[in-house]
Amino acid sequence: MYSVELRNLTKEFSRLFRKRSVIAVEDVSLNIGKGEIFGLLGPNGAGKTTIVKMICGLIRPTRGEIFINGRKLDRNRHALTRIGAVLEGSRNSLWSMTVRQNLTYFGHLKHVHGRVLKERCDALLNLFQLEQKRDDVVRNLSKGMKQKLAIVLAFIADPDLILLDEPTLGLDVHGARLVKESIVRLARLENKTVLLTTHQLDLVEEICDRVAIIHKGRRIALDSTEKLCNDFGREYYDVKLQGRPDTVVLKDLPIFRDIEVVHADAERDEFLIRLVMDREDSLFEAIEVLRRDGTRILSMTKVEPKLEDIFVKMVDA
Amino acid sequence: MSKWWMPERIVNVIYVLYAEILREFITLRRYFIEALSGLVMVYILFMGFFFAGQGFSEHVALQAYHSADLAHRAVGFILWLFALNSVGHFSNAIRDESNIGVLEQVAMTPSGLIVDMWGRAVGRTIVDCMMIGLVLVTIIITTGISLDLPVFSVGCVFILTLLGLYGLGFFFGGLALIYKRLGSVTVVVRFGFLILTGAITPIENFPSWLQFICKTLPMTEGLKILRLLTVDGKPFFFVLKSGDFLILLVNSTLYITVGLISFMYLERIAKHKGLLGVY
Repeated sequence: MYSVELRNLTKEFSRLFRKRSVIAVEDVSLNIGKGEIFGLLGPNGAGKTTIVKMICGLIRPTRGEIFINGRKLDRNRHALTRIGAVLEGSRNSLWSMTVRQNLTYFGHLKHVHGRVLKERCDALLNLFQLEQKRDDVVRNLSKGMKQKLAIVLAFIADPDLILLDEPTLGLDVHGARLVKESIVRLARLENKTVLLTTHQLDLVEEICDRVAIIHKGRRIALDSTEKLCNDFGREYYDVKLQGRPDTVVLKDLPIFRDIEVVHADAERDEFLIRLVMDREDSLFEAIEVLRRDGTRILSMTKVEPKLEDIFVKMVDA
Repeated sequence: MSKWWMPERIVNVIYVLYAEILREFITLRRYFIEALSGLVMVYILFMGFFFAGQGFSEHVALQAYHSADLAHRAVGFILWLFALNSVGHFSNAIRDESNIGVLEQVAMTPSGLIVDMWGRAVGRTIVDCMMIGLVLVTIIITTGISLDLPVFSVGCVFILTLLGLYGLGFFFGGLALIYKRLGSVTVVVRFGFLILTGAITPIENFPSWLQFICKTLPMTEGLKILRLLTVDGKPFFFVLKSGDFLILLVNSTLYITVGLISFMYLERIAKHKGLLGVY
């Protein structure tokens, strides 16, 4: 049984006095297994947030079905009891109340009471390093602290599924790292399913098991992060050279998909060329060409394919 | 899956009510000075009405217009203060919370928006009883009026009247889920209540068509009965026998039913159009 199952999910927004409706999500199907950290990638306006809000029951799909832990989410509020969410661009907490009061308030609303609520609060505040701030009014907390509180509130009812919409957006390096570590820890230790939407590719690459790329409401890719990188990523080498290379010579060779020359160090007359290749063995042909040209090679670095490249490539396509 | 009559479900609903009551008190404590200054302003407003009424009443032509005595006006004014909050409370909360993202979090809770709004209604009413009660006591002390307070009968009528008012509140709350900024509309309605429900002016002086409209409003019948019980000293039996209580019961039931149905329908539209988190 999947934690989340989307079947042919479509959302059209009709506009007043306009014949054509806007299709925000079109025929998206995907399954997310229990304990999986799943990334939903896409540029702004791709339809990521609409998908998340449909899973939360905040937006009704025009067509298609959503199953949470095997239960169909259609006026079935019980399916919602196992979901926690942090939605992007909103506070998600009451700023006039303290951290502890927020936890108590949302805990009760999510049907967590008494000793269980207290223990859950203590554990989460400890995990997210907020125990010192428990009696501080939320308004006085830093942006990172507020974001951490929003995530803690999403976890308060011990949900099986956590939906995080841009969870590290606007956080400093330390805050973002803490949030990332906490998400991974909770997912791994407590076997939580995490659905993450973001356009921060490094975050997805770092923590997600699988990724779906959404563009203009459609799912254009779905696979494990590693497999996507291997199958679609471009392998390239960064080669540092003494003196400006004769790129005309290199470009004449059919082995390269692309050559980019970067002036690395003007004082030392060092240049960096990025060789994007179709075949790994074509590197030796490149070295041979450079050697014949009399260019001195200072260093060579193999660069692993990045999710960013795949994303840009797919969206551009 | 648990059914509505199962204890666990009832316990959960009680905790939702508890959470909302607690929230009202926390908000009251945090913004106590603001709340207190609001009360002072309300008291000054009442005294203004009182002295203005006295002044006008010296003119023979306007005596009929201001025939209601001070106690009648005090009861009308106090009930109007409750109406002020109950009619606009949901729409204001929805407007504010959709702006900060809390509305979506509340809508995602297992109990849903409707139960949460009931919690808010109960919490708000408790806080209002304390604060507006303080205004009433101050008015009684400073003006020397005396009111009967048969707890059971006044309680029944008061709760029924509030139910009708909250029915209107649910309707405006539902509209706020879609249109968000309804402040000016609810202000017009709420201040319209001051005139059209007989809170400060007797509606008997209005043209018959307007009187008919006034009598269908959720506060009018409740106010009439409360005046009979607290000022005129009529027994509850008199109110039951005259049929006034039955009219109030039917009126409030209609308002709360229509209010709840429209709220649920408008919530559905808001979810269909994706407007819950839109401000």
